[in-house]
Parts: sequence; structure tokens; C-alpha cells
Amino acid sequence: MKNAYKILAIGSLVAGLSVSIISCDKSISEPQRVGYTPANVDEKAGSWKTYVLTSPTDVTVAAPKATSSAEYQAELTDLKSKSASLTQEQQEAVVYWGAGAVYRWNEIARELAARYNIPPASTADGKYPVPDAANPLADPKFPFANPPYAARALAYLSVAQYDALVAAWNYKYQFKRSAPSKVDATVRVALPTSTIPTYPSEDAVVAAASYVVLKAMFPGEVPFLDAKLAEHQNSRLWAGMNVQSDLTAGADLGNQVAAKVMGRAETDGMSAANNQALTAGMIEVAKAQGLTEVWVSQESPLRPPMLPNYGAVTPWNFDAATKVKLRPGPPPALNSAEFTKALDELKAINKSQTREQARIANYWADGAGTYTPPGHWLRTAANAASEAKYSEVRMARTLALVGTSLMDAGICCWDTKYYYYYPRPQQFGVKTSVGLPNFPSYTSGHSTFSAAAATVLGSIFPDQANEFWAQAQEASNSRIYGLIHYRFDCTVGLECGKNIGTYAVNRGKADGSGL
Amino acid sequence: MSIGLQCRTFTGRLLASYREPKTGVYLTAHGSYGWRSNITIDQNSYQADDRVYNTDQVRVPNTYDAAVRLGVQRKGWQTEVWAERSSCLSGDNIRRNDMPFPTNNMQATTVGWYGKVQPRNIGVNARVGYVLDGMNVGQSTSYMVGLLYQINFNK
Repeated sequence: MKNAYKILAIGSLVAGLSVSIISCDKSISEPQRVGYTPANVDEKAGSWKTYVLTSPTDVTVAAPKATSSAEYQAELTDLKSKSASLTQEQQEAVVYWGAGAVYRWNEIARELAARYNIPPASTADGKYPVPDAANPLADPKFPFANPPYAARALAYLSVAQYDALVAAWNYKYQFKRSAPSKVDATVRVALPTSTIPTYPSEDAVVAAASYVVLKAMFPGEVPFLDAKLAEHQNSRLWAGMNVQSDLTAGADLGNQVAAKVMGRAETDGMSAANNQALTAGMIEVAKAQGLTEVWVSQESPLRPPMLPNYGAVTPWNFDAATKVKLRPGPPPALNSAEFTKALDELKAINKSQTREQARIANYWADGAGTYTPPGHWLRTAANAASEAKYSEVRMARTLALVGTSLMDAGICCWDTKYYYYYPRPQQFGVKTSVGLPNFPSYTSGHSTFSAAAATVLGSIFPDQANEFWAQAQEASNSRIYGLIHYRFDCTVGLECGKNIGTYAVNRGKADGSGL
Repeated sequence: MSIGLQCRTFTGRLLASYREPKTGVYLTAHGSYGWRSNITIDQNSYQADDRVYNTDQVRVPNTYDAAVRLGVQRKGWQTEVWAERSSCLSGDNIRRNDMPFPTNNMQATTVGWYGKVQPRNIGVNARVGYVLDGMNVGQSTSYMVGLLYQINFNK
């Protein structure tokens, strides 16, 4: 074979070994939620105080047919055929939606917030085009679901769900039509049942109300939302939980309430939140107070600041005059010893950030492409309420209290940020490990959001209050470890957030729930 | 900032080569399959595959690469041109104006030249590569220059 064809074949690993490795399991385990019988059916919830409705009778629900009627019996027959045997896909839909209507729609909203949380890219001529609600899928997509936008979308979602469920509870206990499986024991149910009357269906109420709000907040996602809405409604038939008239009445009620809630959204000032013409005046105000160097964008080309007039949006739990009172005092002068000390702390971390500091900064970053800090806290709230086996209406109340407080926190914090127009540490040579938000420094949004949410959650779940507060404290510190906030931005933000949260706590104590 | 993907990897490679003894002209083809483990990130939620994962575990795509090399190798020197295709076997795209993520489906077709001169135990080598086509990678031109020193244990 010398000087003839010679073939060298070298396998650096034995083929058999490779095959066994290739087949290694790469599946990912995500926390699973399953349906439960609520710990309390909250039968008096029809009298709880609503946000936008003045009374459950603002909306109408037709009286249901009696369970003895021919119409109802025909619905039962239809239900039995639909729930008798399920495909794999139908079973999965039943289990998915069975975890809770409010729970799932909140999760869907967080997912949409994450998918739309991308700042517009600059064009070739150095401009940043503004997302257009009338053309949501063009570049840049509408909306840019930044933290203030996400806070507002999630707040309206929870308010619509809550108001609609309070109205639904009112009619449920007025009509007292039992669940199909209680009327006819041969109906096969796939989920835990309770004594809550099923007309109108709470699932259909939440699905319709959520659909209307999310369609307005994420107008490019109509096909996605259509599919979720249809699957949710069908899952109740497949599970044997609701007859069609429960669902029809629920959808009608949900639509009526959501229309009223969106009426508030249309006039809450959000349409003027990105009024860039106001920034010159804001800078003048800050300079008049003695600020020697104002905040400037560190992006290239210079990006206009995020929603400079979001501070003028109407809050939920207090009025505009209270908002001004909640605004903290001024930050330290840039030539003060206090400022130098805070900047030196950041410079020290800049030089030797520990792995643990980096981990905390990353964990709480919730930046572009995520569901933002408001989404993070609503996930925490929804999980706590699910673990406590809350009824749909009590779950919605929890998320509405937290959600409105998060939006209030966003409004107050943005008002403060643009009132003082304070420069970021990056204007003094500090780097960042988590991405630099494009708006003034004082006060920290993470700190304000987190303290407000932790305060509300601590009031609803007193046995976990310390845990929630420790999380808020860590979220606040994360912005120092991430080098984008001075310590005073964070401590003042926490204090302010705590005060903001107190308003939602007081509302919750006076909403007639006795909780 | 971040060094690699932090995942465990196993690679299997097959290589075939023919060299014409008189001229020293050779043709080499090789391909490999790379298995990559899941990783754990600091966040407990992330976006990939157009959805949000509510976990800190991230599935990193497996990879393959294939290449052909044509060159001349004589005593003391070597020159070759090469083309290489390397790609993930699954994964998602970098979103518009967003950051790259370990789940991204990185694909690249690269062409280049490699040369080596090593008359004695000391020598130099150099490599130039240019990305012709790809996805989720930069279209880059890369240069490498090396200094070689051979330690001969048999003598």
C-alpha cells in the first residue's frame, strides 16, 4: 500500500459514546400550576368596592333559564357530548386553563409585555421612529412595552378582571344557578369543583374582559388573543364545568365591564406621556433648583428620554395633588460630599464587583426583552395568591391592588425623575453591567415599584411580609450593584414606594371585603 | 463580561484525508457533531422561541460543522484554502434591536486561507477567514498569526 491511496480516518470519540450523549435529556422543567377548589368561595364579593364601575348594576346580565327548562337540558346534553372524551390537546387546554382564569391571563399579559419590550432601533439618519398604534407590526413594533407601559397595561387588565368578577359574583349569587355537575351528576368534570354558582361563568367573564384590554394594549396580537380566548371558552365545555349559556352571559358581562374600564384608559393622559416637547421646560426647572449638570442620554445617536410626561398620567389610589406631596425632596447637589460618597461607592463596585453582586444585578435586571419589574412583581403576587388557593375574585382583587399600586409607583417615580432631571452615574465615568435605562437617575424605578408591591403584598399575606420586603430591598440594591443608580436613588425610591403602597393597602382595607 | 456559554460540551469528529506523496497536494474533509448541555442563568425568566420561559434553565442548541481543505504540504511549509460550514441544529433568532442569547441559532459559512512556514523547530503560521453567509453571527473577517516552536522529544 506504500505510495498508493491512503485514507486516514480518525474518530476522536467512539461513535457509540457520541450516540449515548446525543440522546441525553435536555428537557426543561418549568413550575407547573394546577387547578384547586378555592379555600373560600367569597360569596359576598358582589358587594366589594370596584374601581371603575360604581355598582355591579352598571352592567346587565339576563336572568338564566331554570335548570329544569328544556333549553338547559339541551345544553346539558351538548355539554356531556363535548366533555365525554377529550383529545390530548383538549386535555392539555383543560389543565392549562384550569390553573385559573385570572392567573393565566395575567401570565399571558406578562408574556406580551416581554415580547414587546424592545426599544425602537435608530434609522440611518440617526432618528428613533415612534411606534405607531395604527400600524403595530411595522418596525418599530407598537407598543414599546417598557416598565411604565407594562405597569399600565397590567393595571388595567387586573382592574377590568376585578370589576368584572365583582359584578359576576353579584349576579352569580343573585341567580344561584348551580354548576352543571351538581345539576346532573353524570356530567364528567375534569377539574375540581366548588359551590360557586356558574351563571355567569367567571372564566368567560375574565377571558372577555382580558381580551378587550389586551387587544387595546397590544393591537398587533389580535390573532394570538383570538386563539387564547376561544381555547379558554372551549376548555370550560371540555372540562364539563360550564354550559354554553354560562359562557355566553359571562362573555357579555366581561365585554361590558372592559368597555367601561377602557373608557378610563382612553382619558388617563397616556396619549401625552411621550410629549418630548416638555423636556426643555423640565430641564429649566431642574437647573433653576441648582442642578449643574442635567441628565443626558448615553446612547448613540442620542435617544429621546422614555415617556417624559408619564408622571402626568392619572393614578389609581390617590389624586394628582397627593402625587405632588408624595414626590421626595431633592437629591444631593453634584458638588456635595454626599454625592461624592455615593459615586465613590459605585466606583469601588465598578472596580471589584463580586459574583454575588453580579447575580443580584442580573436576577432583578428585568430589562429589554423581559416582562419588566411590574411583571416580575405581578408574577410573585399571582403565585402567592395561587398557593393560598384564592378564588378568582380574590385573586383578581390581589392583582388589582398590586397592579394599581405598581402603576401609581411608575407615575410618581417618573414625575420625580423628570422633575429633578438628575444625571446617571455613567455621566461620571462609571460603567454598567446590566444595560443603562434611558431616563434620569433620581429616584430608582426598581426601588419604587418593588417597595410599593412588597408593601401591598405584605398586607395581603402578613406571614410573608418580611420575605417580600427582603426581595424589594434586594431589587433596590441590584441597581447599585448594576452600577446604574446611586445609593440615595434607591433608599429614597424605596421609602417613596412604601408610601405609595400604603394607599392601595388602605383601599384594600376599606373595600368591603373584610380582608 | 461572559466567557463562553458555560455549558458542558461533547464533540464527535470524523476526518478523512488524502495526500499525493510526490507533490504534497492534499485534500481533507471533516465533520463533527457537538452536544451541549442545558445551562442555568441568573434570571428566573427569559424569552426564547417567541415565548417566555418561567425558569432559570436554558436549552442550548447542539451544533455540527463540516469543512473541506485543499492544500500543499511540503517539508518546512504548508499552504491551504478551506471552506467551513458551522451551524446550530435548532434555536431561535436574535430579536430586532435586542441582545443575543445562548438559544440563538448561529450559522456561518466561512472561507479562508491557512499557511505555515517552519523550516526548523521555529516557525510562523497565519490564518485568514471571511464569513460568506450566516445567521445570528456577525459577517466578520478574522486574522490569526502564530509563532511556532517545536520541542522534539525523540531526540
